[in-house]
Amino acid sequence: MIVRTVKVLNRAGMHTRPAAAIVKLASEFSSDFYINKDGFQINGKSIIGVMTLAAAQGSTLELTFEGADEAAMADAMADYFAKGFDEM
Amino acid sequence: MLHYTGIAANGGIVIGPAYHYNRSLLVAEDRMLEPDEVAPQLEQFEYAVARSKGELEKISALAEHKAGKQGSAIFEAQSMMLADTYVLDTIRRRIRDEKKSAAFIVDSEYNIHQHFLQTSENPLLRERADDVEDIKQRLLRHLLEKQKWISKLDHPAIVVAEFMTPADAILFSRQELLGFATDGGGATSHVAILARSLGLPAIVGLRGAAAHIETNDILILDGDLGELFVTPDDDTLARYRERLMEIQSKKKIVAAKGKETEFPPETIDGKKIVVNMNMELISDEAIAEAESMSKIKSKPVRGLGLLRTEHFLSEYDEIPSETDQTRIYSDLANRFYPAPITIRTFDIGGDKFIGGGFREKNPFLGWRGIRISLDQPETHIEQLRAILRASARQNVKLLLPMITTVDELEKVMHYLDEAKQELRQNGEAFDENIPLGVMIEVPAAALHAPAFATRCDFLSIGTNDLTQYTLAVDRGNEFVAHLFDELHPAVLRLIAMSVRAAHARKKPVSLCGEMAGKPIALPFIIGMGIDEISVAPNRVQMISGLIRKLKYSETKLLVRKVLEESQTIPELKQTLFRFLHKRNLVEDFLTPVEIEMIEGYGK
Repeated sequence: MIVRTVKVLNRAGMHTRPAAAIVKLASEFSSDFYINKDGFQINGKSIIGVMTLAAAQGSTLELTFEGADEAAMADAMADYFAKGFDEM
Repeated sequence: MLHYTGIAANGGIVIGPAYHYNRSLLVAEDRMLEPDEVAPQLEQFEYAVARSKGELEKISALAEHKAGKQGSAIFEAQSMMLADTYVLDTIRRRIRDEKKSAAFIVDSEYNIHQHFLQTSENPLLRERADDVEDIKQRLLRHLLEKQKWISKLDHPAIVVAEFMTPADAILFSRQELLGFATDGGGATSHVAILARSLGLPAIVGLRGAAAHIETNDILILDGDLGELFVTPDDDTLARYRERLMEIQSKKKIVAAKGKETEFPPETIDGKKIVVNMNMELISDEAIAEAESMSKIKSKPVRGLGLLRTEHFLSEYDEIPSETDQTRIYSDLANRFYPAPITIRTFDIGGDKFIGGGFREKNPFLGWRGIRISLDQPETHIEQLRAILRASARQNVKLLLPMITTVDELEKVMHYLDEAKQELRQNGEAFDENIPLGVMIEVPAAALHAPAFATRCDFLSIGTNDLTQYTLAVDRGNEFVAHLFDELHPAVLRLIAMSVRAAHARKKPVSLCGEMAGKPIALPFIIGMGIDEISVAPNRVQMISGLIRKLKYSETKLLVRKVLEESQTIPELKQTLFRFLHKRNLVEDFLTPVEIEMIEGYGK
């Protein structure tokens, strides 16, 4: 299992468009993907779940990846977070 | 006993149990499933997901076509939310484990997510709660609607609702119904129109009554006065039972008198006016009724003045295939042959075309009627071909709704030529000279009537929409519905202009819409020289009877007087009233409410 800590950088936070993009990106990998925030854990392949996290700008999230392609998935996801969901 | 007063939408008195229909809140019952219900519930859930997905795809494609990528983003997001396999799997698992109905689990599962979003500090996410609500409602609609209703009503009842769509009313019409009472809507709302075409007593605009009425409460619905009594006391019941007896004995006398022997009816001085029927509802019962009304001396002579094809959408839930349309239209044309039937192309709002999730800010000024048809040429040509095939025995006319520009008419003519060409190539039979008519229902069309009359074969004045657009009153909005009145001098002027424009070019004019069935307006309609009117089947006898009691020469003078002198609606109505009064026709043809209201103007 890989654990990464990321920050939400864009101003609007993790709203619909980024949530959809995260789920889409996650669906390209076979590993399980969970997002933890303030003690909540949601399935990162569920768009409604990702949205309900309501992660605003500046929030810190813990991402966990587990499965055959976990390393590649962790890199891709961390990269997308680092780019502020292409909204910066 | 509770007592409410609303808008009398259709006359008649009925006493019976209530059925409270709750449309606005689709909430699922919390009920344990029997073991053999689990699999069908899971199947229904998959069906609801598939249907909802299809609707969202349509809306999304349309939004992209109309508003670009930005416009479709919201529906794309909804599509993704709907396709959330994590949520769908959770629902499937919960239906199996908890053994509750699919609707209940859907409701509960989406509520959890909605709650998280609603309590978010981020306004963008709070808005997304609405998307989850949309998805939930869409699924619930497919899971609950129809089955829910059909399974519930097992005895005749008065349907009470806060709000009802035309589709609801049509579903109800298949049941044994006693009447309608709704909180919303004006006298010309769709529910009111349907009640009239079903011949059921109805009250609309009851504002807040529905909440106080429970299923099986005994009601007295007085559609003449717009009064509703809930769990009435013995005195009130006795009074109304007596009135019902009186009415029934009166009805028998009228029925004995009302047998028609000649068609079309003509005025005392020999002017013939064709009285046809509107088909508001396309159910087996409605068609059978219209068919029997069509026959005089066992021959069909009275035709269908307006066949609203959009009602097939409520029936089929989507636009029927070209084959189905051909079958339906041809069947009707054959059943009424040689009487003519006028088929109007789909007059739908965008919401009906692509499902419940499509909303326009201003639907009456939006994407509807011919505008949708011209934006979807393939669907339009399919309908034109189906109508053309039905015209093989030359008793079909084609009518176009919501026309505002000559350009639109010319485009349809172009598509019609194309459709004819295809049928010719396939060797299929149709009427080469199928009459093509334009609905005059937008002021622009009335003001520009000469241009339309030059290009088409007949005009048909739709008074409901013409009034709505001329007076800028949404007839379904109970806050302004009282401002809706066809007998506004401006509306009558527009009608007169259209008739003159058509007759100057030797083209016939028909009039459909509520106004055609109102005795108070009839002398004016006749006096303008309208060739054909189309009314609800249950008004045919009465209107034909009144025509036979009028003199065309006198009605022509009345028209001149009205157009020249009447400045206000009350003045105008009093003039019309006096015309009937002088001829001793008021008692026989006007309702007590109309008489009271018009006499009230004088005081």
